[in-house]
Amino acid sequence: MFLRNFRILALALPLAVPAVHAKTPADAFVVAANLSQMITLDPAAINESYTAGVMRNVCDGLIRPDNGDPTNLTPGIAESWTVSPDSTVYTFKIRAGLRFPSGNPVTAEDIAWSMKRSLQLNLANAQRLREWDITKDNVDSVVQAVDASTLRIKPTRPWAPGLFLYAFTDFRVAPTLDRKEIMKNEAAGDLGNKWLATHSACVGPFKVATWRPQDVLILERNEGYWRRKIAMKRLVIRHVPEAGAQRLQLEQGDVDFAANIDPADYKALENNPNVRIDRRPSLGVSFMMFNMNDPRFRNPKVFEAFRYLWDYKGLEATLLKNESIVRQSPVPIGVFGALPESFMPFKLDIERARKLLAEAGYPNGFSAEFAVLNNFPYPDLAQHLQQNAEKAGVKLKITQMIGAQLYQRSRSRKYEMYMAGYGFNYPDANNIMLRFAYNPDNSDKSNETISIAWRAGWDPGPWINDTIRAAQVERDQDKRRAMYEELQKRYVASSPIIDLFQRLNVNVVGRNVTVFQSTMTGDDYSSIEKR
Amino acid sequence: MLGLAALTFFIGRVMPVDPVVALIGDQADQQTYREVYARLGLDRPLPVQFAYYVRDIATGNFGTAIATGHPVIEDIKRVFPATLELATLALIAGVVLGVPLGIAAAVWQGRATDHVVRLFGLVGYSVPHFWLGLIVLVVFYAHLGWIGGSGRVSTAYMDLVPDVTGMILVDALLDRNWEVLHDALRHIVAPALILATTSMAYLSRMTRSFMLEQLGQEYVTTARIKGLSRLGVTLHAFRNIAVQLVTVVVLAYGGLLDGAVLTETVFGWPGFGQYLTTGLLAGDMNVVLTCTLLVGLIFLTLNLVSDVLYRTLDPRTR
Repeated sequence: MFLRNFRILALALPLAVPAVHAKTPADAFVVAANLSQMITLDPAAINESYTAGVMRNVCDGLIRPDNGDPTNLTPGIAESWTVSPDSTVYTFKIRAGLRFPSGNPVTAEDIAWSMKRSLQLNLANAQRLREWDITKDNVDSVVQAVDASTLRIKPTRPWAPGLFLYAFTDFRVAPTLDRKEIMKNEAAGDLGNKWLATHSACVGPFKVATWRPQDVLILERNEGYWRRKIAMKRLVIRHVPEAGAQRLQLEQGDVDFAANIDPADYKALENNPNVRIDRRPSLGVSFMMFNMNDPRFRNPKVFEAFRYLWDYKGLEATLLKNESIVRQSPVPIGVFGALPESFMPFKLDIERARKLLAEAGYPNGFSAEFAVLNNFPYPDLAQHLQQNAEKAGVKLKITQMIGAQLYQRSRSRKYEMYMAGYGFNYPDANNIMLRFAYNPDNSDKSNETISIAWRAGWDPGPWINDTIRAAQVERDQDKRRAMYEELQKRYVASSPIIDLFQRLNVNVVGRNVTVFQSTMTGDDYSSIEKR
Repeated sequence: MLGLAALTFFIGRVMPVDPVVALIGDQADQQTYREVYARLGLDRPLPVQFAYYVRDIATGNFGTAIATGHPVIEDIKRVFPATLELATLALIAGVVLGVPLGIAAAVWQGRATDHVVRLFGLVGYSVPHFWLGLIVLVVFYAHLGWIGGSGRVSTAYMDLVPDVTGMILVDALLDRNWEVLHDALRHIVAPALILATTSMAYLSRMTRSFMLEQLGQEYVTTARIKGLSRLGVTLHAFRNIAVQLVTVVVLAYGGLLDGAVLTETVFGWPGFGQYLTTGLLAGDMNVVLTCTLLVGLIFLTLNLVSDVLYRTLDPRTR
């Protein structure tokens, strides 16, 4: 990231000889990644998507989204499940004969304990259970181990089965943790949180062998893994913080996969015969928003004006080429409930923006601070908007910030205009609408700080709030889809949140890697095969 | 030290980075946020937080790092040897190259040698390390294959020698594992030399000016008149700058031991500089404070060392 503005580097990189010597061992997959955000491996506490994506290969979920089509749910730790006709009882049959790496058998009690543990610890992922109204107070009645191989969930609301089952695809919602092993390593009543920060006690294709923070994470194959034979014996993820160094290592064949390639390098890498680039839509989006607590930003015409200040297609074709695609509605492509790809009502139209601003009472524009995330592509996007806004009479002062600073500003509603990214958790519109449009209490004292709508100071009104809640229990999938489509259209017409782009999941792998399956919810290391 | 701790603590607390968000991320709800906020003790008044902190460090408890989940002391034991190794090599290279260059520049003052050394010093001082680092990687790693890439050893050599000192070169030597030693040398040479450019530039400039001062003294003129050779005169003058030079070298070492975040980042070197910066960006006061205290301690120790050397080298101070 230090190099972002040092375009002079571009002069030096072409010197690199693209010669791959395939130096990595045939049975090990070596990854270069920036691991500075990897702060814990505890499923109750993992707070960012890269670590979650890695640990997904260590901790299987109860249910497994199919690699090709994530809306198709296949068995995981649970070999089967049933849902009662009124969708108030979900019964999971735990796979017979499954054992943790410690040798302990996997039981339904382990899963119930793990879910309760998350709520007791109340760390990053407790919210993922509370999202389904599973709380510290009701967990004992909602989550029950009937016997060693039967887990029964009796949710407080009759969630639509097509929706609620997604909860069990995420190991951060319903982890299967080795209770006995963890409690052996408990310190000061921490339910093993400290120990699990650097160890694993799950069932999955791999287990954690070594973890030295900001240095290296080594995963080892779980011999006799239930689902499939795994070709890779070891997975070595090395901390290479600099994107340029990652690229060199990939080109040299010292690593098989580079996780943080600078998008400016894609073009050069595409011409390299020894590297392959795969892309697919991800669950990540880029958006901007206004703080409606600021009296200047109350008129929806201001938001509408700004929707016309972006050259969406131009950016997609240049700055964001192969990195993002235009998305003017909140639900990403490939997710249940998404509007069609053709939904694109806005394009750059400065005259129209100026007119809308005048109608909103700003014939001479205004000045505002635009707080943006300091990594690619946000500073570049901010400059783009700044230039167009200037033509419409609006002066933007761009302030770049790191995540821990910027998110704090939005959580406390202390900003004027804001731009960042967001990563959703599962491919259903509920997740997105809940975060971006649901806000039943817009007061400053509200507990809804997780909601982007609250952070924008936006009261979406009873129709949107009620429809989001109603869709959660709508059993007819067609009706549910129609509800999300209508919700999004109303949201786009009134919200201070402007959806801009959907990020692509870009995988840059060496040619010697013959199979590498990547999905919307993460990469599947168990599928990797090398020449 | 207490003053240093207080200053760092209060600067850290007014920093606009939220350690709670760094720990739980952007997607945790308010219930978690409030609980973690209280668990970190952030709900207490600042002076109380500071009092607790002083009490903890007095009892040897430096807290846990947000970014690693480990006790800060354990982390420092892991990252500091990596920096120590790198800094020591860089200092050796800086002294071995910088001092003779400085002497040469002084002896041939105003001549081509002097100009070249001064230009070299200017370049060494001003070239950004991360840029130089990437150029070196492109040329010597990717193009020529002479040096290793990121990290301290290649993936195949990781964890092959027992971790005794935490310094891979020393550990490989102790284990008599020449293959690991060779690979580790291939990895350390570039970051060490790049770090050395600054100390080399600094030392050559300081040596030059110390030498010029001595060469202008009357005793040197006398020695020249008496027919002492140029080499003899130079050695004579050099003995008299040794004391000043030691202080400068020790200070340069202190600067290198702080960790060089940019060099460490480009070369994926798991050292002190990266550790401190990651802590800083996460608003992790345990890490920032402990690292600051350590840097303070390093300078105090090095000052002491330089005082002792001063007395040993200069009979007048005894």
